[in-house]
Amino acid sequence: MRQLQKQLRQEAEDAFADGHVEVFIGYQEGFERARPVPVFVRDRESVQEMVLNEFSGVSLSKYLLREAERAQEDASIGIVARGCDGLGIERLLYDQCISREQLYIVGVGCPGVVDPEKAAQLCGEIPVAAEVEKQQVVLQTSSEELTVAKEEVLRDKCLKCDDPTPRIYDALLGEEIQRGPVRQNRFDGVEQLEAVSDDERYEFWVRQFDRCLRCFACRNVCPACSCVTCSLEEEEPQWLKRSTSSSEQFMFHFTRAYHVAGRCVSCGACEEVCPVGVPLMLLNEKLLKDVGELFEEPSPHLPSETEPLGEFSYDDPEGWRGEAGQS
Amino acid sequence: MKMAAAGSLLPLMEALSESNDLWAPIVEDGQVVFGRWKGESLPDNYRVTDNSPKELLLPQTESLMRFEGVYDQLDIKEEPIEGPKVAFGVRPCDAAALDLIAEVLGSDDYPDERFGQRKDSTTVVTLACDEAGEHCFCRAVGGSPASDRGSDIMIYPTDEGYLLRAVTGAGQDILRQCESALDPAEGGDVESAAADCEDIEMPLAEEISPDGVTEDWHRVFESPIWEQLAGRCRSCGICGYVCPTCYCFALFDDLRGNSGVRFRGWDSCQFEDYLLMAGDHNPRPTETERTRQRFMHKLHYFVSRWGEYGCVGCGRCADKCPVGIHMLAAIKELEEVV
Amino acid sequence: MSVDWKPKIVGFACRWCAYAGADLAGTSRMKYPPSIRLVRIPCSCRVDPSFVVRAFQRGADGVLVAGCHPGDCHYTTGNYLTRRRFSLAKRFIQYMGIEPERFRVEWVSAAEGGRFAGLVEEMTEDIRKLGPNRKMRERL
Ligand code: SF4
Ligand code: SF4
Ligand code: FES
Repeated sequence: MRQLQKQLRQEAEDAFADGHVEVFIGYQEGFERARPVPVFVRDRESVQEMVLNEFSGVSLSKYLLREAERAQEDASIGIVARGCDGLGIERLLYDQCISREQLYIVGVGCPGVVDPEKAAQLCGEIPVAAEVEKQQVVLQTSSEELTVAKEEVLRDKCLKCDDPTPRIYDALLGEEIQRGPVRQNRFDGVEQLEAVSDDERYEFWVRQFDRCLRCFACRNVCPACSCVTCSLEEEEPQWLKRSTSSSEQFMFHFTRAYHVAGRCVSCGACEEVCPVGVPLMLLNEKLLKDVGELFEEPSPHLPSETEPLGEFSYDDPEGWRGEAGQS
Repeated sequence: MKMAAAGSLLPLMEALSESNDLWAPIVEDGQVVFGRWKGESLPDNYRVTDNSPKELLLPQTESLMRFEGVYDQLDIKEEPIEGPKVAFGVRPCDAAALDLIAEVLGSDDYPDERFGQRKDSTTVVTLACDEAGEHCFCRAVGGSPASDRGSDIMIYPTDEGYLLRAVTGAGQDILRQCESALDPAEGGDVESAAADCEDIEMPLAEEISPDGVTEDWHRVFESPIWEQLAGRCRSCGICGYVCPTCYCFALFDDLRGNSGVRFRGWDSCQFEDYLLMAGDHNPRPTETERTRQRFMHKLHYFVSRWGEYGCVGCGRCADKCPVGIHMLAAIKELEEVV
Repeated sequence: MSVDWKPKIVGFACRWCAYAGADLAGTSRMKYPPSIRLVRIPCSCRVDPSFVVRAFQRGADGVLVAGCHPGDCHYTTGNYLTRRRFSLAKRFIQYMGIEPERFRVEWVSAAEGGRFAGLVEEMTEDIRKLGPNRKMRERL
């Protein structure tokens, strides 16, 4: 990764030098080493502040929306993108929130990102460095070195990743990586939940949603949530009250998930930012799974020109058949 | 002075729950949250809960009154307040925060009655800290891991078990209720137990001090740092909602024909529409102004109004902000400009 | 369950077909339970899945979305979109815990008065067995 960081800085510097970009979105050192934060580099000198390491993985794609809005007409924006952010960027492109010409994408073939929380659990402190290797991850704390399995320490979303390299980029750091680091079955969790009774499932969601603070972080980071006015903030008609009663929480979570149905790129940003661990991917993945099954989309999370709910085919199934209560 | 029987807090919690509505840190789907107690011991190694116990005094959503009818035939019924509660296993920072909110919502000029009633009827049982968490910095903002501010009962962990001390009369009453779960604390020394907690290592508190920022607030306000810090802000409500000292709320009516409910719900100054006015004017139009507001409020406005920091150093914002905009980061960056 | 509880069903009915079908059932004096409240909509694809959640919030024990048979939509393709949308939403609502009997999507033409009556009959019976819905229900 050190090598990639060097390359990234070089790419960014060149981009500024050629006048390619006016702002470059990347990561910089945060308050803690293991928690790099997003940075908006606006001149060539500041490029040296950028970092790229095993921890720098906070989703960046949604920032493009704001930057594009605030940028000068023809200003172009640079961004460093792992596979998941690559999909987020595609999402914004297909939704015509930004234009490809405006972007300078520096892709990263991503070996997986270390979850600082998980790492801290394993090490007893936040590690100062990490190296994601072929089979395992080596964590470096102030006093020791620890080798652990990838499953134990990579972010949840990395364990299910199918697309470690962005599908579109202008420059690529390192090599194209074809396989995700672990590739657990994306739908395991959904299938488990489907198997329990309706009442149990309801209770499960009541409990999850009860924790939800309605902070809107999940919506705010989502590259598929790009409406100028969110229907959840609309006052007339008011779809969602500010109340956090269980009933309103269902309205909130139903709507948030359903509004990105067929458009969610499974980037996992929403679940990752949630401060209280609401398993939002269990909602998104259910929709992805059904989109795949019902409309025969082999990879429903990959964005494309047309979206499953914006089109139809004459011989679509009636997805509601074949269940109890349906003739 | 008493000692928890058998070196465990569980019997005490059981005894307390017999005649009280007991709230405590509980584990729910792997998250440690402050909620209604469900019969289990306190989670291992929890530092602070995801949500702060302020929820007990200032619920996120709260019906204030119900109304029905029109004009002079309007029938208004105030919503009754739930019964007394015992908040158990609160951390000293969170207990102090309840007192801090009370400065504002309990002020003589504009008392918030519902908050006040709940504050009076909630018994706070605080567990002093024998270890600082990753983001703890209470000492840097005038608190202490042994502080009894805002508490009715203090529990000090010691090598032998837990020493209890009633801080208020209400605390005394509650302790009396659960004699069965307590032993006399023979030879126990509360002072030294408190001192041990007082002295725990807290690296961040040494590293960081907001004093300079507060003194030099004029320079701080004008600083270009805000723009850098706020550039990555997502305008979500995490920081305000997990913060134990934030108390903003807004009022709403839920109408159904001629009847309805007036309720209040938390609000956050970090939301884009927080200050949005009629005519679409927004005095804090970007993340920069909003972020500045948050930190200026805690480090300067609150200080000049109430004589202390509007932050208790619990570190939740540092735990939870997905992009690292928090009190610690802000102070550290601002220290460079003062 | 209280003795005098009767299922309440909110029906979103396309004005060109299902609503006319219901009309036909009425004018032909067919008997069906008075449990359904029909909301007339211009086309089944006007129904946002949030409507369904809203109905459950506000007290419905069941929800029916009814439109023209595929191929018969007055706006040519509206109900094909409905079909996709609710194929997904139906499963999703059940995934959130609502029993499948409580929410149905059906095609009813203007000539199918009898079918409409039968549908309401059947749904009412299914829901009666389940009892009142409390899930997602708002408590003011
Ligand atoms: S991020 Fe989590 S707490 Fe915040 S609104 Fe989304 S689900 Fe709720
Ligand atoms: S819903 Fe979540 S996983 Fe899907 S695109 Fe939005 S942020 Fe990413
Ligand atoms: S007009 Fe009846 S479904 Fe479109």
